[in-house]
Amino acid sequence: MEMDAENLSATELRLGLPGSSSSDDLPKKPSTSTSAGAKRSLDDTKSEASGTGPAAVDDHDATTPAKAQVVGWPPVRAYRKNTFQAAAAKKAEQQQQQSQGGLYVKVSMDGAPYLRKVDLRMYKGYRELREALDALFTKSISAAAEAGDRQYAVAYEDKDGDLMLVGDVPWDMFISSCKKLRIMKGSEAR
Amino acid sequence: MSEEDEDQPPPKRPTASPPADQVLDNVLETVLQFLDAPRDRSAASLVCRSWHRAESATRDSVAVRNILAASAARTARRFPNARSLLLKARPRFADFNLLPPGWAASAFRPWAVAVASGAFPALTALYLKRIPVTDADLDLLAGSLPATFLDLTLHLCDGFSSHGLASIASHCRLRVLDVVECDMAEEEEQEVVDWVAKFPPEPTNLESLSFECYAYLVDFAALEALVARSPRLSRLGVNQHVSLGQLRRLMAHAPRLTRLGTGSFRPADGGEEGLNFGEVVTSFASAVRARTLVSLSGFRDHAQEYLPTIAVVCANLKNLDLSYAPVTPNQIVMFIGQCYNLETLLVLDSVRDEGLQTVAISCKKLQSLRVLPLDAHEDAEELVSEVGLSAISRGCRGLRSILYFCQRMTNAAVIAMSQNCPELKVFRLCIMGRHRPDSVTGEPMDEGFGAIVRNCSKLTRLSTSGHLTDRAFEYIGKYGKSLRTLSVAFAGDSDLALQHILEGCSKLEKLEIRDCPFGDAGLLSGMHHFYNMRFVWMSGCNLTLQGCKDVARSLPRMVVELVNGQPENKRAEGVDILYMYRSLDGPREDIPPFVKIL
Repeated sequence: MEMDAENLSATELRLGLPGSSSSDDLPKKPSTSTSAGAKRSLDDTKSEASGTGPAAVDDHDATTPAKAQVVGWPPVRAYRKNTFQAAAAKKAEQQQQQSQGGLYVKVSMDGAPYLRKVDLRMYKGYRELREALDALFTKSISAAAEAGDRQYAVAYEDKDGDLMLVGDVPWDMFISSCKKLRIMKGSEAR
Repeated sequence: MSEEDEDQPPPKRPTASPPADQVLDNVLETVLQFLDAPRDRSAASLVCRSWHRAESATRDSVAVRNILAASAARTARRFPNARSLLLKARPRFADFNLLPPGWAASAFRPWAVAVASGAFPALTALYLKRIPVTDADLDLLAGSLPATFLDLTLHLCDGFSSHGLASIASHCRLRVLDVVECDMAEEEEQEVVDWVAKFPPEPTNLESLSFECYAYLVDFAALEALVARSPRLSRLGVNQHVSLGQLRRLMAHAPRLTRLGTGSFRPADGGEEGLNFGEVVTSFASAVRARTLVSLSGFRDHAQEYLPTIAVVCANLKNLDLSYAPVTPNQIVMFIGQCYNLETLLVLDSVRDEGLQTVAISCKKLQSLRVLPLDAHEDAEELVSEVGLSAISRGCRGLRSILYFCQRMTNAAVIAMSQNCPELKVFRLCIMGRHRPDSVTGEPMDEGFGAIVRNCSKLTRLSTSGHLTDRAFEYIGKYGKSLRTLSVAFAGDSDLALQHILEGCSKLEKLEIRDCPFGDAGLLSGMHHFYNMRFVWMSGCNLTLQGCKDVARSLPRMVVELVNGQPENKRAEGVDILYMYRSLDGPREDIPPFVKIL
């Protein structure tokens, strides 16, 4: 089961850069999979090009066993090499936190007249998400409360289309697999 | 490249010298003062004893290109009237971490002591390259430099910190303080001294101030005040902690800059005032009106949207250094078209072949080009290739010097460059993947390099890469008659290659070889020539202790150093690094444990 999940996640088409979703998923040669796009934006190019750098340095045994990194080759001064690795790492980190267009998912609540959209990347964890949902749906929630239904559960639809309860998996994994949010009334959530 | 000072013993003469000699000396000195070129001076000093004396007394610029080869005392005795001293210590391959740290840790100390004790009373300028310099050395200098001392340049030096700079700034009435590409000692944030604030408070004579490599924040108020009270400032290079808004303010205080290192070229985090596009253009436009700005560098963390503001100064630019700015083809095209006077250009390979094509179309006067890798790894993405090189060779016919990092190359492109650019003096091609052949034909890169040495008769410096057989070196030995510097890595099949080089390249002065299958037989074929060379570096080759001992025995004036490049690993047999150089003062005394001198 786990193997299947890993394989699926490796083949999934996503917006993220290699390595941006979860650190385990660094493909062996990110450059080959993304070099098809000749006219990319600069940030992509730079992150990819430099992305092989840290990957190669960290996992050189795993990535290209034939070519271990040789001392002093290519003949570029360490200061220069480090400048771009540092900058690339910083950019990659920033992009992990920022959105490339955000990760907006629809939020539906039973009984609410219309759906909302939230950017999952804006929140650092489940608690913030819950507070945001409270704020968004405050009218509907209070209306439901008056009708005697105080509790509600937040569920999400993942990429397989299954309805899952929010809160089971780590936040990062949740973000990467959540496609839709659904706030269910307490009575249905049993 | 000029000769190192060669102190050949003058021929013996009878002791009594007639008074006419003194007149001769005076005449000679007066005439020799006009002799500038170091080679001419070297030649003049070898004529006879009185010429030697006269030349030594009048030599202004003294270059000791290997301070391990000639002591400070000897240099001071011979050139007492030296006004400028250029000193170098480490070999270039040390830049790439091939030499363990501490290899020449105290090499500079005797020189600092000599200068401090007044051995060079006329000294005005000191240029130090690849030398470990400590804060203590700088303190010593600062306290005792003659009042005439003006210019200090530290290039690729290391070991000193903000404290050393503070000493220099506070004690010396400097005209030039350039700290370039130095690997300064790390300091705790609270330990860092604001050396900019240590310059004396009255108006200064500063003409050049450069600290682009300085890692820490400099107090901007102090910097701005310094620039404002330095009316002669014409060259300013700030580090990446200076924001675009701050740069604009500095430029306003220094309207007649000729060279500008722009720092980060990005607004400060949190936004800055006065940074709409037009306002930044205005700053550069004033520089244009003064017609002085000819050189731009920096862009250490540039914000893309501001890069085109430099277009307005491009028509005047002779030097443009974008080697820290990952510029794309779409971005470079926005200003390169104006750079028709450009002579020196440094870029990253992020500009791709398309970017190089626009350079080739626009920069017809280009003499020196460096294309450096954004991602310096063997398996990095291919960004530039033979296409870019061909374009450059077709467009920039006057090219004299090229350094080109790439992942793929063809013989055809290199041959084309050899034919299109006959003025080439420096050809350095680095195909980053080791042993890579011609990417189209699969053949070794022999023919390409062969064409370079054959067609470029002015070639003095060559760096090779890619898959090369002995044949390439046969060409180099046969045609590389003006070659003075040769760098070879991961190439050749046998000792024959090294033999071709040492027997053929009669003007060779500097030889750097790494990881080639060359052994003792190859090394010994150069015995007739080693005394004419500045140094030989061979690392990762197949030399043995015996072979090196043979060389050391036959050439007593050569210092033959065997260095263990990785002191933490025990090396059982074989020679890791051979570094040998001629020396006037015998082997140095301060040898670290990983060095053995034969």
